[in-house]
Amino acid sequence: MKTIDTTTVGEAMHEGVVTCDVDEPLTSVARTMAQQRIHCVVVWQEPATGAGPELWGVVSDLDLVKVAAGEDVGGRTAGGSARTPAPMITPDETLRRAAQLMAEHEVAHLVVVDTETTTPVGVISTLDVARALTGNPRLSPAL
Amino acid sequence: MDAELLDHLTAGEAMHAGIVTCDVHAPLSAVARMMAGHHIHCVVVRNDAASWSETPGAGLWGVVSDLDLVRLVAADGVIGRTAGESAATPALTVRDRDSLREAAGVMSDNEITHLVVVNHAARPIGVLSTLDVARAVAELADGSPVVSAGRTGREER
Repeated sequence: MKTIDTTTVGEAMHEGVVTCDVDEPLTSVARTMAQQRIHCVVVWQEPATGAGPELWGVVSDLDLVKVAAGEDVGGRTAGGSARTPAPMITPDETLRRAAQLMAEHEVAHLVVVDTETTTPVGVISTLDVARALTGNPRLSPAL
Repeated sequence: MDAELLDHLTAGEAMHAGIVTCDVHAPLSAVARMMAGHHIHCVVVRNDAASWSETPGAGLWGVVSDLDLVRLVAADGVIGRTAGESAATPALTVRDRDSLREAAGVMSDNEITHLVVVNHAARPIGVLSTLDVARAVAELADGSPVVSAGRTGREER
């Protein structure tokens, strides 16, 4: 049986990241989260000249709620609310390492980045770790 | 968006009705299966020894989140542990009539993503998540409903 020590992040993660532009209104990010049923969106900032690496951060639904609890969300942008640098991990790490990083940063999601390019390639969540504990990383009522 | 709109929507209107529960003595491995099987981030822990009818709210022991579970994985593992040992107690609740802004404040102050919604008799009737608040923010901003991807599409994560 696969365990959290023998399952890699790459095996358990959700491939692909949902992204938005740094200037996107926060209300639009909220819609993306609700539509896609995801708890975090990666915020991209393309390099202005085409040179140098792109910059990115993460907005979670808890970040959004913190803004909504206190003030008008209307004027806020994704970039203004993103956490950067975002907690990240590479696909070759174990799920135990992912669990340690989540506990350390008190976050439910880690961005999975390519080992060499550090470009985001997926997201791994606490729920993915819980699923791995059942011995069936892909357990899903829909399958 | 009119900031005051969040004051007029209630937790009861925005929540997901129904709760998934387990007994205080349930093994954490069973809780993990419930989370994975139902695609949920929190399980409400019941104390079956306490009667709902005699003492309102007495049976609501606490809540185990997937982050609680992961913290244990990172520390010393989940084998042999029960839901009751690992639950956050008391469970953080909001009334179904409380405004969404109040609920958002509780989430924000406590850094938690799920609240148990209780009715006038202190009985848990549903769960309100940060994603439910995000949905309300989007709908209030645009004045149009959010159509979510189906469960067979992208999984909640």
